[in-house]
Amino acid sequence: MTGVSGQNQYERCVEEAFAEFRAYDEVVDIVAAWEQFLSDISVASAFDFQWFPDPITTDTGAERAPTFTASLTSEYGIVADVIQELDSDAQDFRDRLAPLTAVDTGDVAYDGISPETVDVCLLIASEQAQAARVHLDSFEDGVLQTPNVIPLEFSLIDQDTTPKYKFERMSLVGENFRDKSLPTHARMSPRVSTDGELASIQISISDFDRHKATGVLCNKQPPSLYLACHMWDRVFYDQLNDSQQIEWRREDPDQTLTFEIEADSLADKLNDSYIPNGSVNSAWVNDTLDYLCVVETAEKLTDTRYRIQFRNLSEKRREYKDVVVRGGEFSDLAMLFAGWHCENEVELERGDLDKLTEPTESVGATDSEDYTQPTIGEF
Amino acid sequence: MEDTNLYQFTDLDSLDTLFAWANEAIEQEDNPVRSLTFIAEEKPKAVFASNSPTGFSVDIDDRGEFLKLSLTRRIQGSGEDYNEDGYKFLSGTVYVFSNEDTDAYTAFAVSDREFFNQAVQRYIQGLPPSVSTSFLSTDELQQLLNKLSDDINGNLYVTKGVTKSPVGDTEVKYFDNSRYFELFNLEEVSQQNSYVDKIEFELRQSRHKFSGQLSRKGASRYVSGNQSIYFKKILPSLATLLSKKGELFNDKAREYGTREAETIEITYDEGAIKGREENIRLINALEGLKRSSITVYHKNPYMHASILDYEDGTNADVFLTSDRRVSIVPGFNASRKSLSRICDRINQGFLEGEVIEGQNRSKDPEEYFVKG
Repeated sequence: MTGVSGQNQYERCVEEAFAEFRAYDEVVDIVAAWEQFLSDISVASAFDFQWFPDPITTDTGAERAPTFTASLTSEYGIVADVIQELDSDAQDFRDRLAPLTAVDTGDVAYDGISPETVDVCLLIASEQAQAARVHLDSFEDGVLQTPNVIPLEFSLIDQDTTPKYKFERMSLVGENFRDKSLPTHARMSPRVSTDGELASIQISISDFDRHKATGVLCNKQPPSLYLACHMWDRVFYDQLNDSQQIEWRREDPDQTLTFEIEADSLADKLNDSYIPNGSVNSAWVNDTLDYLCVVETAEKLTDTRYRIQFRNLSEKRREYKDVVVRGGEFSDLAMLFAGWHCENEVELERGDLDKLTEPTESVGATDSEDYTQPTIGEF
Repeated sequence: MEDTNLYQFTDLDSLDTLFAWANEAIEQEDNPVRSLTFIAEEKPKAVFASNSPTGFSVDIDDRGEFLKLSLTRRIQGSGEDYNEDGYKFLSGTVYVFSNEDTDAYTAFAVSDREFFNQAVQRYIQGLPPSVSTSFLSTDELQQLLNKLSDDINGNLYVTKGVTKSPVGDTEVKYFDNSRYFELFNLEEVSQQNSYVDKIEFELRQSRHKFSGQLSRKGASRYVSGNQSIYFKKILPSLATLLSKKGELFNDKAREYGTREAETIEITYDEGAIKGREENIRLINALEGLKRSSITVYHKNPYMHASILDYEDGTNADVFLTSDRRVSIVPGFNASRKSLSRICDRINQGFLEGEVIEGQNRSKDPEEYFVKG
């Protein structure tokens, strides 16, 4: 499907891919920012920060995984959820919050000790804050008091000098931190109160860059484009065997080297080595490897086994080279993946597209297999 | 190269005789001493012996205080310089010695430009990541010359300077009667619109003569004059600065299974980086790194990109987070060679700054709260 309609679909596909990518990255930013902030105000011996907390479940079985949890003192913890999109219906919003308000102090236990006090912190994108306030005000039965819910709206400020995330309270009374167990100089509640002139919490990017680089993912499934970039940049080179790495260094680095990998084992490696204490599940990895199959840098061998074609990717867009997406200012790995993925999504017939993610059950030799047999001319 | 001077090849058994031989060789031949000072994490002899970059062959003669290499590079091409099989061969002798109290070594040849650039430099650059080259900022080049000026009798004059701008404009400037610091005082250099890439200088008003050249990449030339100035003053200073810079990039790789990470920062004067278009400029500079790819996670208002160096698999995250700082978070397996390459690229293609160890990010709680 070429022509204007194909171009429009391609453009929309790429834009949607990057909208998801940016939204996910924003949550990673916020988790990294709060990890640094809370570590600086907490009692060091009791501080614990969980990037991948378990879901909280209500009596009726509804569940939601908070974005992060933290233990600040032996008596006080926080459960936090980032809200970027708001349900238009107040009841839907309430249902979404229900598992969080069902939090038990045991959900934030650290070192076997449950804190006496747990606050639920809602971190709401500023463009949704007003609508969220209306929804929250419509809950008349005290759902925000038990446990204590603190809505904070966030925005990115000081964009030209020292960009930082700003978190502000969304009410003048109530809805404040119950952080009396923190040392006086480190308490949030007096500063964000009217007596404290409603100070905001401001966390510079330079405060948390290291946490972001090492935290990588947040507590929900990443867009496949996001995880694909992470794995390509940080994980795949390590999967080459020694002779492939030597070959890579000594010869032409533009060549393609292949290796096979099981989604389960890759998920385990991610959680053990690359994103310590991570909660990457094999379904996320499967989805991402399927994505790379559509990009045509991987081949699906069985339902869980893939052959990766690792190489120094460079621009070779075929169909929509004139379409300007993402500002058109640069073409990075994410743009290459998104471009190739969308090109196949738009161009291929459904059957051909599906074939890319169907197991081939190929049993062909790979570069990482038998090195004992000489190739022609080699002795 | 024929050993036709007083110091015959067989006499060369110590650094002092080697340096004296070099002094005579440059007087008798048209070529200067051309050298590259580099960093090695293990004794280079072992690296030379066990690694041969494609197209190179090397014979090693260990002379105790230095190594004598017979180096040949085979280059494929066409034209009158190439034989009927389509090859030409660049061959010559290279001397490698260790610089005291540093992990820097100097490889030099008395040779023409082609052998040095195409054979010596390419050979060193083609070795595994345990051998790496480094770079000096404009400030560091000036520091080196300041120290030299303080240490010797007479005055240093610049005869030629090469400056480059981040967008790749190169200017060659000639001087008749200017002290060396005048190159650094040029408006485009002092305003950081250009950096100094090379400086050619000579000693005047002194009982000694000396003429030579220094480059930001650690290459240097000894053209004429007193050998001690070159071998005992300039090269040790160069080695110390390069080694110190190289230390910043050493052991910075993250360990698998932990989130512990060190950072490297490039710092600038407050307000030196103005406007969000600087994010794109930094991305473009990083895209200019050969044999690498980048992934941009955030481009506005701050910049976060991940780099994969296809030369050795090094990965690093780069952030531009304020008007005065670029920070680099090395990934697993990040090599000194690659981190140096990334930093050098940012200094050349974006803006020269001071490269330092990353600072602790912890702050006093007060600093997070802003009234109003």
